Amino acid sequence: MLTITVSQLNRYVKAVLEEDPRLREVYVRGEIAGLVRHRTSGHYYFKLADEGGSVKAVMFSRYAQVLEFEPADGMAVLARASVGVYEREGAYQLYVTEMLPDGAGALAVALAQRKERLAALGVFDPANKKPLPPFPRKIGVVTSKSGAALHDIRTVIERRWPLCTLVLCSAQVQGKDAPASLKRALETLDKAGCDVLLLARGGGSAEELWCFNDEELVLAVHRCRTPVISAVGHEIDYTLCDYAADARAPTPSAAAEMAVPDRQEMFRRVRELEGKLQKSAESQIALRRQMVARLASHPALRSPRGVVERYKEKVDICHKALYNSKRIFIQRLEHQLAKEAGLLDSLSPLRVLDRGYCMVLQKDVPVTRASSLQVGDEVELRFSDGSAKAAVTQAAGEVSG
Amino acid sequence: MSKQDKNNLTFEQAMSRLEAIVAELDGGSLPLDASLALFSEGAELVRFCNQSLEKAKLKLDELFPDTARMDSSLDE
Repeated sequence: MLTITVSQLNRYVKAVLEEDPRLREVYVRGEIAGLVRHRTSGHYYFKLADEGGSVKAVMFSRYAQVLEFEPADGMAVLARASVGVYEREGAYQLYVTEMLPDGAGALAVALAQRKERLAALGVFDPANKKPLPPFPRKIGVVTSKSGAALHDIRTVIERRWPLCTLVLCSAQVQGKDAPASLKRALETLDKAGCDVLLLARGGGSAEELWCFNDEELVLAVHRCRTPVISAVGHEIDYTLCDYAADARAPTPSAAAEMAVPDRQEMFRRVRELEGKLQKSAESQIALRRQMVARLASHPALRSPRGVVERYKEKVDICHKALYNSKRIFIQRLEHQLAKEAGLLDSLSPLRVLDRGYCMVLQKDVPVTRASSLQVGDEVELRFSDGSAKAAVTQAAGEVSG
Repeated sequence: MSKQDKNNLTFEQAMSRLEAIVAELDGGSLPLDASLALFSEGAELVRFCNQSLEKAKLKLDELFPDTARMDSSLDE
């Protein structure tokens, strides 16, 4: 009888299992149980179980860290693995390299977890949302060149607000290259000086719209410096781009409506302002008219004669004042004159006569020199109380000194 | 408003100037000639806005992504 050691047995079984090509790559469906994550290495240790049994499984950290979701006990998963033996325990187990949530709602779980992660980065924060410009002049559109979304957007903007330029940067809107293509188009338009960007795609299945949940694309939407309106699918479809955008529209047409003002409404607004302008000009004129009317009813303008009378009174008063001051002036002059006359009087030669002098006049002209008289000249001798006639009996020079 | 200004005027600028003029005239404290000058500027702006709205024609343009010029032909 051949006897072997435990180690030899385990090594043999391991070799047998690992030689089987069917066990090198298996897809195993089951529920996670007894999940443990090694604190330092980051490896996952768990069991995959169903109603009939369970199998040990390990997922090394280099695979674990690219998982799109957070595994948990009870979660149904589809695992891609190879089958091996852990010799120390004589146990066979699955070496898992990839794992996806399995069954209905699996994508939803992955999406919810991605959303949570992005939310933690502030990607959906309402405080980061940019306001939409009221009158955009350049509108960037990221969508498929041949899709209905572009046609819808163009139709709405042509009708509502043709005062702008629509710049298309086309991209693939489904398939595995779509996220990168959409991201490039978005980044190109973000640098093109647009006032607002529309990220749009018509309706489609959840799988078709899935590219709008791409993490890189969502981050690109978040990073755009231009406000972004996201319009992917129909009313009921929500993608992560919708949450990251500055505004979400239920359809591409609705996004276009949201992006621009309405021309008819602007016509109304201009008309309204024109009316106000007219009214205020009219009221300005009416105000002035009132002022003129008020001035016209002023007594000064209503009975000019009254004003004349009043001015006449004033003139009279002035006249009297003038007259009075003239009189006073004359009186002052008279007074001064009298004073001067008194002075003059005191100096009069007649006063000298009082003292015994006498004045000689010839033909009413005072005689001041003896030489002007001839013998026989008649002269008048004037005294203070009267005059006497005299004749010259001896001429000058004849009198001895 | 000089011709240069008018050529560069956007609809948005015209509207906000028009609104400012209406508000100023509503204040009613301006001398008559200033009011009349504002009124005629406002009437000019109304004409400009209406013309912009009536005559506007949507312009279309296309840009290609920086790195992948051929992408558009592979759409959907």
